[in-house]
Amino acid sequence: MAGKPTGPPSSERSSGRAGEDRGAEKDGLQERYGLLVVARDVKDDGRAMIIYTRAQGESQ
Amino acid sequence: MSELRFNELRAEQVGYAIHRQERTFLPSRDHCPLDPTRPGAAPTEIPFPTFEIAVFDNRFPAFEEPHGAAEVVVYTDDHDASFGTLAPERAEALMWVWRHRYQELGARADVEYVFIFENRGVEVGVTLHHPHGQIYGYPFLPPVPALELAADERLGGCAPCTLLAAELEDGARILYENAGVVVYVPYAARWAYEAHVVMREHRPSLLDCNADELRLLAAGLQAVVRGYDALFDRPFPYVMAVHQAPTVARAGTGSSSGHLHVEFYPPLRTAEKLKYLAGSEQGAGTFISDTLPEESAVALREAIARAA
Repeated sequence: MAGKPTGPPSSERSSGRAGEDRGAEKDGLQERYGLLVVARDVKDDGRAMIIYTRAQGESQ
Repeated sequence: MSELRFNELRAEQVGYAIHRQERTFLPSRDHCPLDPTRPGAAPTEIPFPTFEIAVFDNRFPAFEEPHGAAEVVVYTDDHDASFGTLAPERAEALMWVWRHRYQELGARADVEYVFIFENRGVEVGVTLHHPHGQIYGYPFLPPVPALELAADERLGGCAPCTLLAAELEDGARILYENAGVVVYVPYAARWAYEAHVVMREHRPSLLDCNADELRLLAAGLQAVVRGYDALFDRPFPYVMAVHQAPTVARAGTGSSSGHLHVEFYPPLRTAEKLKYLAGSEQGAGTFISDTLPEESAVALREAIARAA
């Protein structure tokens, strides 16, 4: 890897498999990453926390 | 706060995180800090009554910003589950979580190597039984991935690609295959039941994998751990180590060095006996194994088939 990871991976950019291959995207307050919904939080003591939930319609 | 000291004789960094001496140690079933917070009960690390996968900064970090990172990845709110018993969809989701954390941590200036791992079983030092893994963001390139990059140089190309081709050609140590990964006991395994789950195609990191490959990686990993549990019909301790490309900027190299693979180091050499790192391993750096990889592969291959 030539440098810091940024943006969608090359395989996603080139795969042409829209709907299956997704990187990060934001839709209003809801952050999506691939088949996940990403919910960010901060614990009472200041530590970061993320809850990941499989997005609706992504179950098999 | 942690401190790094450089050990000149070993040419390696040693981390001192003395606050970890106070970390939670094998709490009772009713006081697991990785359980969800039940209504009316004392709060745990995760203040929700249910969750799927949770990631948070380690309360007792070995590394912390601006000198690295230490995160906990809780696979499920089911205390009695394990990586092997997760539904395939949850295991697949976990691959996406790993990928997300690799991308975010790897983008930080203070993280040069993102290391995802799981310790399972008291035999390898687990202090919490709730199914979980960890992620360290090292502020330097650790020795093992550095050795893998050196192997690339020595072999004149991607070492895991070369070794995978040799294992497929030989075939004697292959444990499991699908369209995305090949699993084998390596030719020079250090541990009796060591297994490597290797991407078939050259994929430096999780970021280079498409959705199908992530699903197939999860399937391969679960096949291994389910086989482990079936091998001696008991929960099988292991260290699971995800190796992939360093995230340190390596300007000018144009490198895509690194090949995503997952190594399992199980300490059991029989159902009841542990392999200890003793004189030769610790003092001279040479593993002495009591088993041949080809023989271990036969037993483990059968166990994986039984568990399928």
